[in-house]
This record gives sequence, structure tokens and C-alpha cells, in this order.
Amino acid sequence: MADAVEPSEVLVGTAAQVAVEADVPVAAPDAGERIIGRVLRFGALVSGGMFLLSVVLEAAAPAWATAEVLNVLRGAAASILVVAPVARLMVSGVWLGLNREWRYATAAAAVLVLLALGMGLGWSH
Amino acid sequence: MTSLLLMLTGSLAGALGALVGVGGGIVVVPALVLGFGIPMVEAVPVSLLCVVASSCGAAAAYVEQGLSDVRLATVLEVATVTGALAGGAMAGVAPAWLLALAFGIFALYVAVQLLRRSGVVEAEPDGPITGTYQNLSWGLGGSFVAGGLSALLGVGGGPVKVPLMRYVMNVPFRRASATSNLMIGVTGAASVVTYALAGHLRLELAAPLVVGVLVGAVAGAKLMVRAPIPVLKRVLAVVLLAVAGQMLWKGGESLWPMQ
Repeated sequence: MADAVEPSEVLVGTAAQVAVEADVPVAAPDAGERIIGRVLRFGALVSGGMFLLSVVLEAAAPAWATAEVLNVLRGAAASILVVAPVARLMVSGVWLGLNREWRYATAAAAVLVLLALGMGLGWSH
Repeated sequence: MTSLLLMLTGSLAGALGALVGVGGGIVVVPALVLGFGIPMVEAVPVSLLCVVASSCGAAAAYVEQGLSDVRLATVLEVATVTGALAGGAMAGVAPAWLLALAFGIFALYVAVQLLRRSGVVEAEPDGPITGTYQNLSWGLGGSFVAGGLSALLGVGGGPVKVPLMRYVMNVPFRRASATSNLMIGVTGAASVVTYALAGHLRLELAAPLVVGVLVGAVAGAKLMVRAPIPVLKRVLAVVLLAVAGQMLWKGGESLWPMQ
């Protein structure tokens, strides 16, 4: 936990609560959060665009768009999509480490190790 | 025509996932199995890829708006992933029907409570975006259980984590939903890879669904920050009722097998 922040209280009817209710962002995102957002958006946009292209090509059926070509396109799209959250976790770990928030950086590293372990063991869900 | 229907299904799942942080599997799996006649073993990995897409599409906006709590997500992910590993190890040992019944009753209880409270104006606490979290040990324990249930019963963690963060850790509803959205992508991605390596991921089925999910998630993320919290709670309650129904059916089926 960040040392500088005091434990919060349950606030009832405070300005902060009003801000939340009024859809005001709770905290302005810093550089790390902006990068995390971009990583996720990049994954979503690029993979979504590739999946959409595969759907269009399948419907239009030009001669060169063979099943093999479409499979490669979809495979690449799925790979980008699946890598995005893991890349987000890596960026989070680096960002938190650079902020010297070691507890969170360690947690991010631990999640990556556990994910690798889980995949090695044959994760089922 | 089928692609269009799959895109519409994906849009609904993506919007629902973005609104209440549940991923959208609750829509995709029944739609594929009952509506398109896809076997469960092929529907689940496609649904998981949709969860990843929903997470990426919605969480990108939430993180940039300062709604998702990256630190809380990271901490709870440790417990969730550990729970999922423990659940995976217990898969052949634990009585899944009993867990399904217990979780079904729990989901029903939470849904009823949400519906009863949805009309009541509740104070949305100003939980910390960085710093000390209330009842963190309970949050970690609950996330561990959510991960375990995910592995044992195939339910996503969102329906457990959003109420857990809101009512146990006192995280504001929108932030709980946005943080859950951020978290579900990581575990979903790991699961998808495993299914893909086993050859169960049908990409031609996933393609139109993912396109729809991404569109729905972006729309849902815009809607979530504007929708009144009582409405969001009612949506989550309906999702929990559907989860409860599925779990009670699953548990009951083991007790009284169909002929």
C-alpha cells in the first residue's frame, strides 16, 4: 500500500461521493495508467480490426482469401488479443516498480509467475 | 446471417460485461450452446476469448478515466490466480455439485439483496484509489474463493468480485465494476491459451463474436459512467439470478440425473 495515503473512512454524503455519483473521474490517470490504457486499446483495436477483416473476407470470398489465409489472420488476431492483458500486467509491474511501490510491483510479478505456472500445469478455466 | 447474429450476441455480451464487470460469458455460452448448437467444449473457450475482448475494450476506457484501480486489481489478482490453481488441483476431489448448489444459493441471496436495495439511495463511499483498502484480508479470501469457483464450476470471477469489492471492501460500485473488468482479462487470457493449445478454440466462430463484443464493450463503457447506480445494481442482480439458475440447475442435475 502507498505509505502516504491514510486509511479511508466510509464517507456518507460527501463531496467525493457526489463526484462519484456525478461521474467525475475519481483520480486523474497518471502516465503509467495512460500507457496501460493504450496497451489495452491497441490490443482491442488491432485484434478487432483483424477479426472484422476476416469476417468481411469470408463473406466476400475473393479467390486469394483461402481458409488458410483466414486462419492465419484470425490466429494473429487472437494472439494479439490474448497478449494484451498480460502485457498490461507487465506494464503495471514496471510502472509500480518505477514508482517504488514494491508491494504492488511484487504482486504483479507474482501474478505473472502464477499464470506461467498455471499454464504449465494445464489451466482449465 | 449467422455472422450478423453472432455479432449481435457479442454486442450484448460486451455491453453487459462492461456495465457490471462480469465478462459476458453468461450470455455467450448459453447463446452458443442453445441458439447455435455449439458443443459446450467449444463454446467455453470462445466465450473466454470474448471475456478477454470485453475486458480490453472496456478496461482501456476505465483505466484512462481513473475508474479502474490498478493497484487493487493487481493485489486481488494474486489471490484469484492462486485460488484458480488450487481449484484446478481440487477438480477431481471436491464435490462440484455441492459447490454449485452452495454458490447458486449464495448468488441468489446476493441478487435478492441487490434487488431489495436497488431502490434505496445508498451512500457510495469514497474508497481509496491508492492506499489502504478496507477489509483487504476478506477481499483476498473472497478473491481466492472466486478463483477456485472459476476453476471448479466454470463461472467467471466477476459476479463474485463486484459484490465483494462493493459490500465487503467498500469500493464504490462503478470502481468495483471497472476494476473487475480490468482483472478478468488476465485470467481469461491464460485460460484461452490452454484451450487453444488443446485445439478447442474455433476461431471462425470467435471472429464475429469478438467484433461484436468489442463494439458492445465500448458502448457499455460509455453507458456505465452515465447510468444511475441503482440501474447498474439491478443489471448485476439479473446477471446473478442467471448465474444462480445455472448453478442450481448444474447442482440439481447431479442429484437427480436426467434419464
